[in-house]
Amino acid sequence: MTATLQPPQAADRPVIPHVGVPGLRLVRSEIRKIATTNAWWLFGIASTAFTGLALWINMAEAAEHISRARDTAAVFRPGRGLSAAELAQAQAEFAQLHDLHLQATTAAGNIFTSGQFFGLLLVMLMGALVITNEFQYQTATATFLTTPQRTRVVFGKLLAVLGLGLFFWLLSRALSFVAGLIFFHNIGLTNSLTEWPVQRAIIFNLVAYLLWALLGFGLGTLIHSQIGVVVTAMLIYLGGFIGGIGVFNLIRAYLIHGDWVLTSAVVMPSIASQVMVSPEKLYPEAASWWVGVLVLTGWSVVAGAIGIVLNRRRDIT
Amino acid sequence: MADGGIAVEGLTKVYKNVRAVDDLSFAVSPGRVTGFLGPNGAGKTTTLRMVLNLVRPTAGSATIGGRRYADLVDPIRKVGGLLEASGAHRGRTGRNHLRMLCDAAGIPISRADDVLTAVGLTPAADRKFKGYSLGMRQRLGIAAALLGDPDVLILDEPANGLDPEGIRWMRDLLRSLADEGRTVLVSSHLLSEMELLADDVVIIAAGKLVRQGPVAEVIDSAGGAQMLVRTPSPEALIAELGSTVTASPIDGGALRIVGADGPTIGAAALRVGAEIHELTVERPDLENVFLQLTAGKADIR
Repeated sequence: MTATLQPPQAADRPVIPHVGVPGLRLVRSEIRKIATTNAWWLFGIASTAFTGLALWINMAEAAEHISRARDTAAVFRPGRGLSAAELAQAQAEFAQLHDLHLQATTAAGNIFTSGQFFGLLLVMLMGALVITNEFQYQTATATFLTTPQRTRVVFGKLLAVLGLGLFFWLLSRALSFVAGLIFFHNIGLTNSLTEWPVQRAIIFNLVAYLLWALLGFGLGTLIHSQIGVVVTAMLIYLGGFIGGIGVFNLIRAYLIHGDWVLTSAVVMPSIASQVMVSPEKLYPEAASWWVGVLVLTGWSVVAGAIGIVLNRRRDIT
Repeated sequence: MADGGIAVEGLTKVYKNVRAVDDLSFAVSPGRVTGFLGPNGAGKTTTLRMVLNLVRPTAGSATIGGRRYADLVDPIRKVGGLLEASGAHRGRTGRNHLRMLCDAAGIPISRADDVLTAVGLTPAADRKFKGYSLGMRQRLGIAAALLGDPDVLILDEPANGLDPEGIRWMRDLLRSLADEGRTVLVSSHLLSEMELLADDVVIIAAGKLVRQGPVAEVIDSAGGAQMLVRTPSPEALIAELGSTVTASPIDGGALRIVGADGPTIGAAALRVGAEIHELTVERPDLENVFLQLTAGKADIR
């Protein structure tokens, strides 16, 4: 009997089905990336803590304002030596402070959007980290091997980032909603949720979360260094809030004398954001709320577009 | 599977002042393990990254089964890549690393467990990447490359950090993948390992092709086999072999003969009645050939 040479037996190759909705696969992958690292709960805890802190401050302030407004015994006592105009202004101020409806609405607007200041910073940072993490941890290689069309990767991340903004908004809003309802129930006052100014504040709070997440994302595509992007984001956000309007005031005072200089301060992302969320004009020369929306979107689109172009050409090493 | 070959044509990458890869052309066939060899800095990794669309070539092209990597539909079902810097997030578990790749590729996440088993990493699947040893990281990278059960594997230094058992495992794995008809291109510094594993080699130095072909041919091209003969009557044997062969005495009274093969020497010894105490083929090994071929080209550029 002779042995015959058999060709090597083909091993059973597994049949791997295609799963997932083609357009959403990358989004799903991005969400898993976020959910499987510590960033997830660290940012969650930070967001919860900042919301809690802001709620505490806002509710303490609201309690004080509302009890003052409820004090019907208070009467308007102007100081001596006021001009007629000053007198009128003081009287109007007094009337506002003792307008229970106005105070309740303002309190509701503040309480139901508690945690916005740091919440926006957090979603901005997360938006940036979604991109920079890939380079920090050298996962860009695996990501781009799976999806060599880099622009598709960027858009997948973009959708995930918007989802992230929405999620953190929901988290923060759920907390403040529960706390706010208890607060207004306890002091026996309407929660004002049916009032447009309060609804507007909550809606624009969401818009702000999405736009800042987007802006952080745009920055992340542009600056791939983790530290670089965190520092830049902090500068843009905190520096913008603290120093932004000051710089424009100086320009107005010493360089260009025109009110449009103050109006144009809206090009600063932080001022654009405040202009957008404020129900009334932030300051007399402030631009309209929709200019704020456009400016924030504009910055995100410009940063993102430059980032995408660079990304397409970039060598992944 | 005829379309699973890799074709590199005129591939060039110029960094600021270095031609990292210089007009490089070679072909890799399916069903064979092809070793991609070169000194440090020869441009191996850059070449593999260009094939995988991670680095933009300055000129030339690289295709897999006739298509550029970027033009492949579902690339990780066709090509599995492992690169030196294939990292994973330090805080993510091996299983989750694979699952997020499954998500992106539209592969069921159960496949992550299959490949973890295939590379023997199941016990560490739920440990974070930062706790992995170098060998475990390589295994995770190979698991990722196998996720889509691809026809083509492109592996950059896969044996890095593996222990002897791991190297043996890797050799058997790559061998069996090639035997199933897949294309396997693997870069390595371990020349003795490559000699055992590879069917073909592509040797580059200073970004240029030095030699390519089946391992035996490449070795023979560098001078061919020599015969080692031990006999008490060397003069008679040399005289009988004639002037077409060169014989040189080496230590211990043996002769090194070039230009005659075993049967020729045996027949000559029989005719003159010379006793043969030893007759051995001395084939140069891949390491010698490699060093010879890349001599002077391995400088840091």
